[in-house]
Amino acid sequence: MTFDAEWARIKQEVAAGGPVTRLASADDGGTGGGSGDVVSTPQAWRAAAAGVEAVAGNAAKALSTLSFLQEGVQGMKVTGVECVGAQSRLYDSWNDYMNRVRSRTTALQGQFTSAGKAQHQGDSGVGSSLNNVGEDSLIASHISSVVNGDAYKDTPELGGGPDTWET
Amino acid sequence: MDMAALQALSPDVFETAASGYRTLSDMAGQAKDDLENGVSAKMRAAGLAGMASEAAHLALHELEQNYHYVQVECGLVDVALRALAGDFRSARKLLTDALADAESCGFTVGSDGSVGYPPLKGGDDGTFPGGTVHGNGANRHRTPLPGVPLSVSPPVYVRLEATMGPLGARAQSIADRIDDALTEATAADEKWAAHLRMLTADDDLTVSAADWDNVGQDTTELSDDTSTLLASIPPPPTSGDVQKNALWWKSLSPQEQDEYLTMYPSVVGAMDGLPSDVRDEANRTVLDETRGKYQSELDAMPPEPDDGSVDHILWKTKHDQLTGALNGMNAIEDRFDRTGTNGLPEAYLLGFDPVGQGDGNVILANGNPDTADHVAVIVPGTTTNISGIGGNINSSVNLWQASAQQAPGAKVSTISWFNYNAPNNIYWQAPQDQYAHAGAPALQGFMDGSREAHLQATGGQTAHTTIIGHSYGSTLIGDTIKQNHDFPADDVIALGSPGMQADNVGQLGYTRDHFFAEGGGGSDNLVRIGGSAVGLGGDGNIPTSLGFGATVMDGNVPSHGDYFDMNPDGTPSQSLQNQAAVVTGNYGNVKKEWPY
Repeated sequence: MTFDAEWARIKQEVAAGGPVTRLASADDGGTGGGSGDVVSTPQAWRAAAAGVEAVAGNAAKALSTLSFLQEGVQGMKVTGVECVGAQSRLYDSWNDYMNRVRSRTTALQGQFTSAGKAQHQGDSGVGSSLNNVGEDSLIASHISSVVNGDAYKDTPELGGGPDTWET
Repeated sequence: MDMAALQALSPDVFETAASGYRTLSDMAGQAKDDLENGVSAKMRAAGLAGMASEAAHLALHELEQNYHYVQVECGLVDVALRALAGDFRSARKLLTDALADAESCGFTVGSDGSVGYPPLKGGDDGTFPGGTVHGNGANRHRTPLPGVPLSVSPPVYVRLEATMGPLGARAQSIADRIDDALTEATAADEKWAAHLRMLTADDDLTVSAADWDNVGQDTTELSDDTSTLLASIPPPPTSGDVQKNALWWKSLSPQEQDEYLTMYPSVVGAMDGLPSDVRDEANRTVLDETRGKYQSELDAMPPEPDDGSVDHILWKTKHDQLTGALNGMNAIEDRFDRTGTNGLPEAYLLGFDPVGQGDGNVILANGNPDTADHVAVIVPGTTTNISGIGGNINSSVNLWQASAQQAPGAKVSTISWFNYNAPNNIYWQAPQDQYAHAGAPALQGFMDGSREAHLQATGGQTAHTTIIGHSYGSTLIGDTIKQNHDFPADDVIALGSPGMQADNVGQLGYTRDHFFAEGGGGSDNLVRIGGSAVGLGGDGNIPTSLGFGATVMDGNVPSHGDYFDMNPDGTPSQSLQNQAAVVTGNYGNVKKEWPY
């Protein structure tokens, strides 16, 4: 379900006097009720999104540089040198890691942008306090997916582990 | 590795690739700072609160960890690839020199490294057939240097000359050198391939304690094999002279600075006189690696043995040491996560060692002291240790808030300095001067270094500097000033002081206008009267004594531990306001006790 669709569903439930949907992916601690004050402005979320976007942009540039500066060693015609192969696997591992970090960065930027947008649109016809709490909880669950999602689970393997990059 | 491979191998391309990893490392370092001090801090400054905001900070924290991991590991990759290139270059030089000698002698060199030489007929040197020789591994250590005549070469070649003739002997020496080059290249190849495999990235995006522990191990394992590369960097001064430290750092090229910081973060982080952002960078790496190591050790501990056994005592000692240090490390992280709250500036970790002089070493600044208008350094007292360092950090945060209110627009940096073995027991140890005496050089070094870093950063300007001693911390300050007579602080504040090893401010080189003291109620009376009685002061005088000559402030402090507390409504207490008035040079705002 998209962010907009899920938010629309929550609005309907709230408008119908029902409880705010408890979000399965959110932390069990405080989803239903909302803890403390909710203070939120679209501008702040937009600024945060812009900050994260800049980081993702820099990451992309650095990855291009890494790839470009790698061409010499990748293109070296030499056999029987262990370091050449090891360097190639090293590059693959960091290229892959950084690409995933960049994706994570972009995903977070997307969540922050959505957060700013949702608040910017506003909602008439929904009680303001429930509105805040529902919206806050929904946004929180989406942002948390960038931490708890399956793509970010820890594995027992560490960097340099024997089985990670050997093929 | 064969000769063709060594000839085809270009050390330059490994160095070029290394630059790519440095680019990645630098970007990641910047990204980590941007996310913490830009995005996260600004969200706090904007007052965002609620579940979404909490989730955002958590996600940003995870992302910061990813970037920090990339920064440190790719920094290691950069150094490893450069060291590898250096080793290959050295092996290639042996080879090219030998090949050049072969060519100049008119010898042929086979693809297997064998050297063919022509026959020698008649003449003064006699008659010898031509032939082909291979490198002889057994003689490798006796290989003559290029250009050295065979007559002064090792005996083996002199002997060979008798049987093979001068051409044969020379051909053998060249073949041996080719063999040397290939052996050296093969050893380097195996060694560096192992290091490169060790430095591959983690396969998941959760940067766990075990991952950081692994990063620390990678650094240690690399350090021996990168020593040749780093040997070209002038070693840091050992004199402790902060100006020499600063000039040494400035004398290094950016690449040398990167390499040194990557391989020796704990040295750079502890070096007085270096820029605060450099020390911070180094210490954050040490912090994350240490936290990873300690957490991994804690996770690996066996279940608690039965109470009363020797095993239990050993287990508990280790358990308490690990959890205590981890408490402190978590408190430092918590402070990083507060940047932006109520305008709090970025944090600089200027010193970190989980053990230090015994109780740990944590030096943390709120705001960059190198460019600040006003710098305040707080020295804590009895029973301070790394486990409870969160309280000391909090004091410096509160003092920053109070100071910022009194000097809007000015740049203020408040520092929590803890790098001495504080007395652990208020009754038995605190009355002794030895702890202060032993701690003085480190405090003096830090203060001198802070002044030097400010001079360097601002083109010769100093900050208005205040040193604040709480409890036994003030005794340490007194001892330090007496030992050196050149203490770089404009103002001194002694809070709940049991004595400063002097009977008046003049003995410490200060006047009443720039020397402040404050006493409190309850337990504070015991500390001060006790200190006076056991002679931590001078001639029975302690800073709050009339005869000491300090300006005594009225902070209305209930007891010994309350000097840095905020009021229940979140405003700075009178004690904090008094300190902030001195820190910001607004001396008129100090509330004085009668008759001062």
